[in-house]
Amino acid sequence: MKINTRIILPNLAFLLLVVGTLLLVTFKLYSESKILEREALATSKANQLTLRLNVLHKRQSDNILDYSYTRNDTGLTKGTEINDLIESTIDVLKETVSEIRGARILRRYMIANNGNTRIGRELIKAIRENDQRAKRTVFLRWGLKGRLVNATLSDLTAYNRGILERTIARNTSLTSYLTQLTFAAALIAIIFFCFAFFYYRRTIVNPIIQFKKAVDGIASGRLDATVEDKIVKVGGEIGALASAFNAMSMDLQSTTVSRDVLVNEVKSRKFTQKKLEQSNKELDDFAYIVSHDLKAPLRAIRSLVDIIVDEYQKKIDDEGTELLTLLKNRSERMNNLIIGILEYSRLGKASAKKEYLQMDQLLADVIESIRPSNDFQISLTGNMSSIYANRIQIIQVFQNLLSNSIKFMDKIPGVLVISCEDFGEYCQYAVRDNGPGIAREYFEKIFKIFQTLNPRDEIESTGVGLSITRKIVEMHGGSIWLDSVPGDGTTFFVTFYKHDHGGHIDEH
Amino acid sequence: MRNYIIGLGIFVAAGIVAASVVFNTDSSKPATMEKLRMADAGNAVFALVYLAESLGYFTEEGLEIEYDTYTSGRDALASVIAGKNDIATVYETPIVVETFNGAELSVITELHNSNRNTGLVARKDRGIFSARDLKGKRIAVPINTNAEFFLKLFLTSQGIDQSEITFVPSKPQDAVDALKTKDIDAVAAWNPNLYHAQKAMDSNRLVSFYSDVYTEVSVLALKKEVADRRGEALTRLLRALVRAEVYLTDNPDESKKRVIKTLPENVQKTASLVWDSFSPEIKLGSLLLSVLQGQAEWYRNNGKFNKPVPDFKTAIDARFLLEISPESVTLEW
Repeated sequence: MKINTRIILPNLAFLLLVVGTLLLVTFKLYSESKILEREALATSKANQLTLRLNVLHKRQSDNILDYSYTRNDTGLTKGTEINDLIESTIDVLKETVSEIRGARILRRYMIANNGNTRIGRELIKAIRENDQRAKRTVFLRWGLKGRLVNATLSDLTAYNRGILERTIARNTSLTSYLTQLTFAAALIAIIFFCFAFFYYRRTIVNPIIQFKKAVDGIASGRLDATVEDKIVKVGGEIGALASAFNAMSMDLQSTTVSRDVLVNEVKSRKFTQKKLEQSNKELDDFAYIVSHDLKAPLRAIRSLVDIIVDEYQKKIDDEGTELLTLLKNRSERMNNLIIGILEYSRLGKASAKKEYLQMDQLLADVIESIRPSNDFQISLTGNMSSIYANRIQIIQVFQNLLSNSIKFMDKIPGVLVISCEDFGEYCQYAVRDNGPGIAREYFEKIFKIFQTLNPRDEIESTGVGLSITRKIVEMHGGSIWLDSVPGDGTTFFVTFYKHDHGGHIDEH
Repeated sequence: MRNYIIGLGIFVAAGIVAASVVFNTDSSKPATMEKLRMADAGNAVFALVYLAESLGYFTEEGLEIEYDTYTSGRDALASVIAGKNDIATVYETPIVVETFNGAELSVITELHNSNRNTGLVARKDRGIFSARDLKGKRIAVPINTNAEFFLKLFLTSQGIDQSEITFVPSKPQDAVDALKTKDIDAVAAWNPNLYHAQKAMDSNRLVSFYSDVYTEVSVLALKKEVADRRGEALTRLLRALVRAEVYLTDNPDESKKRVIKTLPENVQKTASLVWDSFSPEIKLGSLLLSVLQGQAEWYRNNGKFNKPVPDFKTAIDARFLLEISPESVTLEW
């Protein structure tokens, strides 16, 4: 059930109950008070009329008695008027009686009154004629009939009073009934209020408390915090919210697990990287120290060879001389290797100052510094853009790449083209030649130190140049790779950031 | 949904509790049957008793009535005083007489009232054409009945002294035969005996007299101590009678047929003819008190009882009728 319905329905029922009860009580009280008023007025009127009849009958009796003693006709005249008054009063009284029992009593009274009037006339006649016997008997009848008249009038009065008493009693009973009704409505309202209280607490307040606990739990890092199933079963918006919350909690939990894995991975990698950096540093230090220390004895060997050649040339045959020359060449090669190692290891030691480099000019300077023969055509294609890097090291990168192409060129003319592609954050430079090309299986090998594809006796090479090149590129956060078709040529790709950037540029 | 159902359940339960508080009415039917032995004078004026019996109201109210039929209310009341029966249908005169005699009676309701149900039938061939002609005649009358009271009241109101009349005690049902004999010049009786007497001889040979100052009233009466003991039975009896009264008002023709059907065969023939001469009604009013008090005073004044007039207010027991139908009680104490 929706929250709106949940709140509106009980309150609407409560409102209907209270308003309905009030309307019922008001209506009943109003209608009953109207009946009471009407019946009270009717009864009051009827009682006034019966009282008046009692008075009239008494005056009637008094007049006849007065006549019997005084023979004064004035009383008789009055008696006739009284009879007329009794008749007219009865006519009015008839209008006040509507119920069958009252009508019966009135009819009995009217019969008694008619008899009384008739006997009264007989009595007057007997008095007028001074018939003592008749006077005695008619007086007896008149007296008996008078009792009946009084009795029926008394019944009529009691009946009217009874109606009023019963109306009052009914009103009292109704008041009591309405009081009970009001109390019952109040009882229902209290029960309803209790129910509504527990209902709202169960379906609205408790879920909110649960939500708060769960949210607090998540905020404090307990990411598995959820709300109970019974809150989901509440239904409506709260149930839907609980379902969504639990789903979110589960998602958050699984995301957190992934994050933790990643964090651990990063930590592990950082640790490995640190170890690697340590190893590399140690290796660089070792290479530097070894190469540095080797240079002195190598220089001594070369000096000794020179001394032997200069001072014992005449004593050494040609074969010995040739061997000494070979020894000198190999010492020279070894010296070059040591210089290469030193260069390589130095790259990691000195902090290289970076700056914005205008690559058009820089590359033009590099080409100029190489001064290739006429057998080579070296060109720049398009805008070379600018990068943020160490000038010396960038020059070394392009010198190495161009020197390699020239060194291994097998065609005339040898064509070398440098192009640049701007990728927004970084620039990608391509150094393409039409040389012999490199087989795919050597794409990685050529970047390893001291690795050469040709015997050193054929083409003199230390196998350090591309290793240094790659190291410089990677130290700048860039990448180096190549694409080559044996026989058609090779293209080296290098990337450099255009602005200061500590990150790494992935290969395309 | 479950909460909604629980809520609805609580609401309905609360409603039922409240309704039971508000509409707390005793609708239980009587668990056990009450029994009453009724001494019945077998007259159409007790129509409401017969109608209630015919409609099964007594049974419905949990009352079983055993009828013991008598030819007069006087004898019926005597059986009640003797303890043979619990309650009697009786006219007012035996009540007055027995109360004078010291019986402690309770009148729990009137059954009818009338001015023309009791009268005097006289033979013209005996020279009786007006009331004055009754002087020196022999009149048959059931003693200690309302017929006797009517007769003596009528005679007095006509200026005839009781000493000028010879009263011949007779049984009510013998009125017709008595009138045919040489010894009797007139009979005082109530219907249907009065009607039978009128029809027994050529109407041209008879003259009938009624009193304009006599009102007859029949009642249900029992001994006070029985009334005190049998309140539940009396309440059920009155409840059934009030229901019969309502039925009679609503269905007068059907009621008449039903009542006549329950009467003895000899009474059935005349009942429909005298039906309009009385008014069956359940009530206790000042008229009853006036009639009882008036008769008692008359009896004492005429020397029948040389003792103070009883207070008949104590003989009228309105507590049961007040409980059933308070509007039927118009007696003022």
